Amino acid sequence: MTGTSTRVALLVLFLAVLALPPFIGLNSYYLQVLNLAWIAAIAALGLNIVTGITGQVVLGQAAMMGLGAYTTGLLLLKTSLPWWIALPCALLLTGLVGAALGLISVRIRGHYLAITTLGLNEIFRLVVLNEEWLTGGAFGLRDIPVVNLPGPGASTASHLYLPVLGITVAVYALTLRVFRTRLGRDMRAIRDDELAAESMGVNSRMTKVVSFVVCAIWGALAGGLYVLFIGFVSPNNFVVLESIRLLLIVVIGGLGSIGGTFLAALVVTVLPEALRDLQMVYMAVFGLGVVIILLLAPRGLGILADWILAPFLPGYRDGPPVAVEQTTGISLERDGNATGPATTRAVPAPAESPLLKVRNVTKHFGGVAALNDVSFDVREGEILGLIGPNGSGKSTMINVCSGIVQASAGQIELGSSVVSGRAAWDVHALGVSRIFQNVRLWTSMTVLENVMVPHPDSRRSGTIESIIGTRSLFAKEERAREAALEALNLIGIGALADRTTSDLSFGQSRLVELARAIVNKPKLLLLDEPAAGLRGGLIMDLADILMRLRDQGMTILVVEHRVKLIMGMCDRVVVLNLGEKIAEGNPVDVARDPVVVDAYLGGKIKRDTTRAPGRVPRSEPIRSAS
Amino acid sequence: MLGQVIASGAAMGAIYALVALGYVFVWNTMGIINFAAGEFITFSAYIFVGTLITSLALPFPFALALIAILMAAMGAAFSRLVFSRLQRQRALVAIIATVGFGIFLKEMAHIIYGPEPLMYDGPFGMRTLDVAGILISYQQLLILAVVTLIMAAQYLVFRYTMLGKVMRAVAMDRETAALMGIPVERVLAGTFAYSSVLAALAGLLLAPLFFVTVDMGTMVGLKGFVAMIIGGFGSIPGAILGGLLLGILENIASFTISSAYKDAIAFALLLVFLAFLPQGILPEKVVDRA
Amino acid sequence: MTFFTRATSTFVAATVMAGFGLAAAGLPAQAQTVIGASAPLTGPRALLGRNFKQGVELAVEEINAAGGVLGKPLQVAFEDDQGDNPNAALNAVNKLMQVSKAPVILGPHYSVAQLATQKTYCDGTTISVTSASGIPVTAGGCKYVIRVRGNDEVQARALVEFARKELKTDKIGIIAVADDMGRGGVSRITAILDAAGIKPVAVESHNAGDKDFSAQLSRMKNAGAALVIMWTHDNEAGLIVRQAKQLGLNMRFAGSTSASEPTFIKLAGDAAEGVISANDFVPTNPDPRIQAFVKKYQAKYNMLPEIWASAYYDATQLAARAINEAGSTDPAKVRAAFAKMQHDGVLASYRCQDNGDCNQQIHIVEVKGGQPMVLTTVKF
Repeated sequence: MTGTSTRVALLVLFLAVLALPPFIGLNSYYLQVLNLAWIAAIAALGLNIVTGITGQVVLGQAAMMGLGAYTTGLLLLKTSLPWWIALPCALLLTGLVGAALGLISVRIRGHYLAITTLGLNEIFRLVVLNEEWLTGGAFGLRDIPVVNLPGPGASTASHLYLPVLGITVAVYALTLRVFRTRLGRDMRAIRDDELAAESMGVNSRMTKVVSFVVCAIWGALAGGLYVLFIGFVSPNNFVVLESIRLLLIVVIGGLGSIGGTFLAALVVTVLPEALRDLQMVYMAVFGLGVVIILLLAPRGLGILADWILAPFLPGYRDGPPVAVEQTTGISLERDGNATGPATTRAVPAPAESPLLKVRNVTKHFGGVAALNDVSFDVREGEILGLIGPNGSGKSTMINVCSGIVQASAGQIELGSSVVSGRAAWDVHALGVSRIFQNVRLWTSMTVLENVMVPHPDSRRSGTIESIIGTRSLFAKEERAREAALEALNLIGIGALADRTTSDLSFGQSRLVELARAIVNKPKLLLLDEPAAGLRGGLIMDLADILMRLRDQGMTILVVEHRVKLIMGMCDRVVVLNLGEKIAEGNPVDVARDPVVVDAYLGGKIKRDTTRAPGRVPRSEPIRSAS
Repeated sequence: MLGQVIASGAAMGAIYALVALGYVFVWNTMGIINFAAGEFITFSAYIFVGTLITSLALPFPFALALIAILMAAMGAAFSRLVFSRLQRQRALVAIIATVGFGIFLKEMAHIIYGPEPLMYDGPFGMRTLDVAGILISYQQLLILAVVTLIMAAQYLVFRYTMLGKVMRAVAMDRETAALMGIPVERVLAGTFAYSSVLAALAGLLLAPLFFVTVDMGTMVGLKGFVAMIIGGFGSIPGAILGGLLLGILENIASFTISSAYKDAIAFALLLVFLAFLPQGILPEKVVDRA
Repeated sequence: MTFFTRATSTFVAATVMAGFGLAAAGLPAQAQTVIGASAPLTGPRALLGRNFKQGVELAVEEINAAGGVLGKPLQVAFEDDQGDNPNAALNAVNKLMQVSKAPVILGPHYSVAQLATQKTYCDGTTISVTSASGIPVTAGGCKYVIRVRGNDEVQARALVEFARKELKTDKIGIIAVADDMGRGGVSRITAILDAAGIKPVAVESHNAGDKDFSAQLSRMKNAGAALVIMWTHDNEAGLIVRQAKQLGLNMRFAGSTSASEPTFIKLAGDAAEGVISANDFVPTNPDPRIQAFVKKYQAKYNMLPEIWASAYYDATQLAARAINEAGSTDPAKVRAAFAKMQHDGVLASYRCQDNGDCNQQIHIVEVKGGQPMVLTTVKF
């Protein structure tokens, strides 16, 4: 129960020990090694944000350091600006380069991004090496004025020790805060499942650009501090191997672990100095160590660091879990007296006005038409079932409506706005939310965080305020947290809030996904086989929930196979076959439609009909296909 | 003189093609890019020149057979120990792990064989052939011949034998292949072994042109990957075309533009392709999994 | 609970590691006179480091046999600077200064490592005796650097003047490695040619570790170069002449010190014949002082000495003598002793100028019959 105070005390003690060296007469060699460790820690943290937290492989962080270092150095040498102007200028310039790289990363991913960033690092090195008129060439930039601040001890290393350490701690504290609030959640969502993130309103392009900018700025800060403290910079400081060394730090610290990166920077910088006689083998050991850590202990040193830093990480709760109305499974009562403000609303008759208008939508994949000239309406306040045999284009329809697939032709409107042609996150912002056929949660995050991501208050916090950490950010965070808890309670799984989603059963995950889809009170909810993989009892509970949501005014488009579910809850159904709409109407009528029956039973019926026309079976034909 | 530049570029390009081919095989069956491929080249060149030719003084054909067997065994072992585990991980993890593994191999070569570059004249020494005023060394001819032979043999095996069918089946759909009784793990290990043999071949073909040093394979490995992207990710004919094209363009550009930026040229070319022709020249029909 | 135990043990391990790093170095025993050496013992330049170390150790053996330094045996503390890695050099030099308290440090050897560390040691805490040949090393106003080799200017001038006089050609092309060494060389050669009113017909560069030089050589041929000066490392120089021979090019080659080094001659084979270079040291030099050194070195290591072994052998001898003549390990006094000293070493007869340059001579060497032969010695 005293977890928090123990951990905070340990953290304070740790920081106090780190602040000691200049006061206990350590000579400047040790101070210099530690200073270099802090500088590496800042650069590696930037890399961790992009690679560990946002999931974009970057093999060129040293070039960011280099850009920051050279810009700072050149401004100091050639313009005689003071360092406190030169350094921010360097950060700004490198940040712009980072933004460009972020835009590139939207188009180029995975292996492409890895080799591209490595290539850019090599190009950077060649440019500073060859463009001697600007960069001083291979001999580097010399005689850069070193900053001198008053401080304990006699050497520059000693004077600058506390400022460098202070900046490092500040950078880490800031990153920790970003990590656990809106921006950090978006980054982690992109890493865990980019498609789900985009459909849940995360602007992946913007988030990637921001994470690259932060990565670049931390890199440039590290490079700038290096120049201000060493007074010399050469192309050899920023070779690809240095980028890889930074990557080693990130991996040894545990991908995505902020505290782990700090410890790993210390280990990777100090250990080779401590064991200088083993220089020959340590790169081999680190190389092999990375493979072993990734395969066997992916959290690396983060195991330790995250334990101490837990009070500052998301999903931490000291003491017993907050009392939640303990509900077993789904126990929403149909009379609507249990929870939620909207339940008092009277059951509206499905209005005639269409909410979603699908007009002549066609989608080709290569030469195959998954959807061919499909038109239908989803009326406000109804549950519309979208059914059809396998491969009839139902999931494609859902994907087109949610914006993760763009239609080849045709138009989709939601109310008065055009949906088609917009990015998935913009569609989400218009009020379209969805769940996926095979549950796609962000597995590294807690249940509560999963549900907080799409909440409008999360979505509305600006990038700048997320980084600076304004009062309004925290107010929004709090509102998103409360709304998320409310949504979880509505589904009846409030007790799971602090669990990590990877620990949940399939059924629980499905319900979390549903909570995540309704937390922003969408106008239209798209469900792709919500009952798939659920056991019997849960299915009917699910139908209850959906009907209750409908009763609260939500419009639902559901793809489903189970006839009982469709018949039981849908107001109308639309039937697709081979990408074309073949029927539309109330469930009972549609189930009797011979064309629908024909489609479901396929060629066999056709053969039968050619042999003996009129022998088409008419009783409950859909069931046989379910 | 341009002819000379193109001829040298083509020989180098053939090596890139060989390396790119190794990437394609591993990618198609395992879905992994082996960023340690360059270090496989280095390591096999060290074993070949340092141990087999110099220390054991084996005759060339015997050493050739032995290095193929050794590298195949090593490749199969690494596939089982490391790479098959990486398959289940995200691309990010696989990339970083293979980079780490490459560092390990490189440093091990350094620790075992020491800092001195190893020298190997190759079976033909320094003799050259004059073709219409363009001088081509026998070693370069050997490279082109070996690469052509490998391509042809591989095409035939892949197209017409059971082994080829099995490999293609695993590449297309691993689960189904397993259900059909294909020993998927062994096929994967075999694929990796084969790509290691390709790397070994690249290593020993390069050894007489280069000296054997710890850095000899790194750039070749990376440029082989660039060649594969240029040719079309995962495409076999693309790898060959991409390799040759990269080798030749790189040499022409450093001849006509600037030799100081030679290594930048390959990466600049990569950027141009990613911007304007991201599918590469001969794209694979299967959707890219990158 | 198990988690906590695991976390604790990791923490303890990390603390021990960090603690070890900070407390590992005890004070050196004062029964010896300790100087430092910052050499590339690991990494891609480790070969140079090995020769460096052998040269130093041979010198230490002789110095101690002759009574040591200040009446105590001389000890050299080696630290690895990984050659041209500025951070590693900074740490190595700092450790030698702060932990080993070395009044004199042999190395760092690479110009870029010198320039990175000069801010650290030039305050007078220690003296660096180096054979880095980049011009800026002694041009930055650092009072505590001593250079035992001719700088790039000396090498380049000797080579160019010899080429123009003896080879009677002004059609000179340059191929240089794109690093501190190559860039330094190119700028000197072009400046010297410029002063004589000549422009090089082509200037090409390549990256350290490059293997294929067909593009550069083709450009040389197109430019009509009759002499190509290579300012690069042994491996690359070897490949350049090899590939030129394979391509049937008949221009002559000249080079920096690397073009008469054993690695170059071994790697280049037949193609090395007739290559001219400027070198401070070749083991075939008939000078009896040099032959005596070669014999001692061969007896101890069973291999021929090369330039770096000789340079740092000399550097060690110079440092020991300077400390003895100063009668103290006080860096300021030792530096003053360097200034007054005249010493006949293996590379040259040393006499230090104010900026720290102590060697103004160089040999012009040609490879004949697989051996580097001294053609002439140029003194400036």
